[in-house]
Amino acid sequence: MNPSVNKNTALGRLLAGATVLVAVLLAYNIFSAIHTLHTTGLLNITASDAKATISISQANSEAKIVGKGTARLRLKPGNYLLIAGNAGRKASALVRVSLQRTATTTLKLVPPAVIPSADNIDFTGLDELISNGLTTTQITNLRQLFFEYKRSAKAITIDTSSVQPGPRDPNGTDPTFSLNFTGTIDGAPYKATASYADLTNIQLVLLDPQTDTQLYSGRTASPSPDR
Amino acid sequence: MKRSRVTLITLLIILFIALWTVRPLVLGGAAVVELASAPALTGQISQALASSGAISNLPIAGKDYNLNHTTYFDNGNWVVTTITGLDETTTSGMAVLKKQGNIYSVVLGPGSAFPSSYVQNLPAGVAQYLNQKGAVYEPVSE
Repeated sequence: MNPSVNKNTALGRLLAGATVLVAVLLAYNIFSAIHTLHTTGLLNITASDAKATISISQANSEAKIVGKGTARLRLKPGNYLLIAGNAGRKASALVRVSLQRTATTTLKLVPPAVIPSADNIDFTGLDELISNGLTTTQITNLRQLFFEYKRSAKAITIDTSSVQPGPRDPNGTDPTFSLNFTGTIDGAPYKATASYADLTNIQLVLLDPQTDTQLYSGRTASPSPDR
Repeated sequence: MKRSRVTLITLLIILFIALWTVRPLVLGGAAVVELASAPALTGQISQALASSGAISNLPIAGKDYNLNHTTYFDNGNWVVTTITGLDETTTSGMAVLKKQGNIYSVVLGPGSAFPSSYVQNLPAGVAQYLNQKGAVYEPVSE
């Protein structure tokens, strides 16, 4: 037989075989896609930040990153936890995916909530209290007591010229020392007495400077011994 | 012969193109996501550890961190767990999770200590547990 004819026949068979194979794969692809269509639901996710990383997890499952800014997912029915985050801001949402239904969710990223603490308050004049006998531990506790009085305070000042030791009976048995001072809390004036009987604990009493009404009393130790 | 071969090649090309395009078309351009099984809470902890930055990979339980001392409260509606980072980049500390639907999500932490103003809003059992573990700070006023 002519070799070129043999070659042509072989090539023809190869092409036919390849065509059948690809056709079978295509059919499998189509049936597989239709099966997925019937066993999943669609979830459209949009984050308010186009650069936000979006992740998804489910109970007793791993978490997976599914996109940046947006994601369009086919998922098995169930509840999912979505989290989007970028540059310190984040958003989360619980979504339910239902069979052959489309769910849409928007994740609006917000800055993290500032945990209230004494660290968020700007104190000025505390050094004068150290100069008058308080330890750094007592100063730390004093800051916390001011914070307990007003958690939303932004700025607390101590008038350094007002710091005076409180009255004390040198012949008495009470070991308590005290410091009296004035200042402002977010601009509002106060009168204060800080009392202490050791190097760690402290009691703070705040008074209205005009009426002498007690505004606050707090301490970090059990009451000082009775006189 | 030549014509039939040309037809066959054309058909092959069309089938190849269809092979790569039919699935995305049928599925509406959506990515199919399947989540592998993992120990309880690890998916949500991985998300919480990585959620505030631009990241390319989520921390993996057993590789980047371990969960220990997982304790449930209030009929399983709350849980506290200790995260131990296995490398320098993974945060260690405690996390408090609340069950919503059938998924736990992190409501506090991860962190090594929490202010009492946050803890006092948690169920009594959870707050007491955190106190016992020394994970609550702030003095108590009169």
